Amino acid sequence: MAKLSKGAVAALIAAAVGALCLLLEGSLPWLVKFPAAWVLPATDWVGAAMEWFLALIKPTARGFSALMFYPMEAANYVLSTTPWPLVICATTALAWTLGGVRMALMAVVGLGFVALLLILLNTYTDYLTPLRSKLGVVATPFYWLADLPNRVVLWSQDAFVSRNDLQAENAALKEELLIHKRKLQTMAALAAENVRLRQLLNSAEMIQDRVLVAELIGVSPDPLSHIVIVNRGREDGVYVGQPLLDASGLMGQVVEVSAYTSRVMLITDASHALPVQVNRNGVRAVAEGTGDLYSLNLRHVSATVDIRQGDLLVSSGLGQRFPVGYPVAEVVSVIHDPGKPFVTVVARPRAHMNRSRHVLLVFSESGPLAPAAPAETGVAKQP
Amino acid sequence: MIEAVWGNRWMMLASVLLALLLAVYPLPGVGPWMRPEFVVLLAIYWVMVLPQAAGPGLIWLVGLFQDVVEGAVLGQHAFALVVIAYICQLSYQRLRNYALWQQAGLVFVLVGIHQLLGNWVYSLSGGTSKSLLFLLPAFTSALCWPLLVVGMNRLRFHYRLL
Repeated sequence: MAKLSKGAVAALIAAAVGALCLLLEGSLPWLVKFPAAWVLPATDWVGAAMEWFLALIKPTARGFSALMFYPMEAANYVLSTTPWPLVICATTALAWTLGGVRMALMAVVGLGFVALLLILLNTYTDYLTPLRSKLGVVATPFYWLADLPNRVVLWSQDAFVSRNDLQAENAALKEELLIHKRKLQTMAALAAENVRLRQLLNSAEMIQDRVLVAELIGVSPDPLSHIVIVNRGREDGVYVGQPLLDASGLMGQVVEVSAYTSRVMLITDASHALPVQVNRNGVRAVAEGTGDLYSLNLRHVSATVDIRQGDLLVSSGLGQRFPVGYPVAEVVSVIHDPGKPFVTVVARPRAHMNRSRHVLLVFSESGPLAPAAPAETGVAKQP
Repeated sequence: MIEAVWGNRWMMLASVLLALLLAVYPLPGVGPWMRPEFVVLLAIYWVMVLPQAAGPGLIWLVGLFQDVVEGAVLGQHAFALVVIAYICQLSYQRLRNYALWQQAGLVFVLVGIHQLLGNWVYSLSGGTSKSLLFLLPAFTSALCWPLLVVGMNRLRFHYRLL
């Protein structure tokens, strides 16, 4: 018999152990499923260690920040108040004077100048948007590759699942389907009634939104911006401003479309705000992101407004961007401070911002908002 | 000679592509706040070991590519990387003679500059960072530096790129 190499022996042993585990699964389930009790609370430990470390370096960081604050602030002030043509002229002048001194420096200054120009164009104008959307294709393979391990894990979860588990899952899904079907039966009657009432009021029909299922394939590496990348792009008809939902609520809107992927800004991004209304009584407000995945703030809610903890906020469609009536967030705290003109309202987004993989892109057939009732037919028709 | 140059370019390209992949690899929790800036580390490394091959133009292009891949403001990384490449060009002889931990100290400062420039661009578009957490990658990058140098040196000697 030919002598087996070490690797082959190891592979054989691994296969044998795996087969044995699968055979014994009926009697010893912990062989296949890793017991939850054995999982070390490693994340907690790391979190605690991080907190301790941050507390440790905080005084140093504070001192450093105090030291850095004034020069940075001054530089920021100068740079933000000077008009950009002046900045460009100054950079050119600097390049001109230093050009003779060192060739390398000239190259660097030239390249830096072009980069600065790009930055300023990008920040203050829209000229580069088409270019960016064209160039976005280059990024696709990177996100695809970065997502590969994730997909392998998902695939293996699908592929290496025992028959018992599949049967249990199947039964659970059938049960769930039955429940939803029952709900839908009453829904059909309600929808019909709604249509009749709307006809009575002479208001526009609610249009069923068409949706496209997309998959989240990446997140923006910048921790300051809440942007995710989904695997649908211009080829699938995605457009800028299109709303994105997950199974439980509104997630965000498309901000950049390239050929096969698009970038979606989440509603929790610090630069995002959307019009909402309280589902209970229709009070309108604007929910703005805070840069925290778990909270939205409501802007300018006056102290007399009826808004309570536990209220569901749905999209009001007033911004002409998001369709009406999708759940957005749930109010978690309302703080009345007599010294302030407005109430501090914090809401928690309904969508699982950092968890959902399967998401929905909504196409609104007649624009984001169904058109309002025409003015000339103001009087309700008789039934 | 030409083969050597192409060899350099080939390995540089491969390492930079890998670094870009790491730059967009999704990290959970506080991960994104402390992601080492591998592209900056590689720029410093290649300028240090092969200053004649890693010119500012090439590094500028890499920066622009990073902007496109990360979806950042176009020119942000290009600008920061060119500044860092220039500082490295001026001091690569000194950098080569330092011990690894001393190099790591300098890398900390360089990546810090990179982060500061990035933060400046961020503030241009109206954002304000409330804390100095954006400097944390400088620390993690400095920690990664010795590992990167040892690993890359081994690869480089294996492929005889000197």
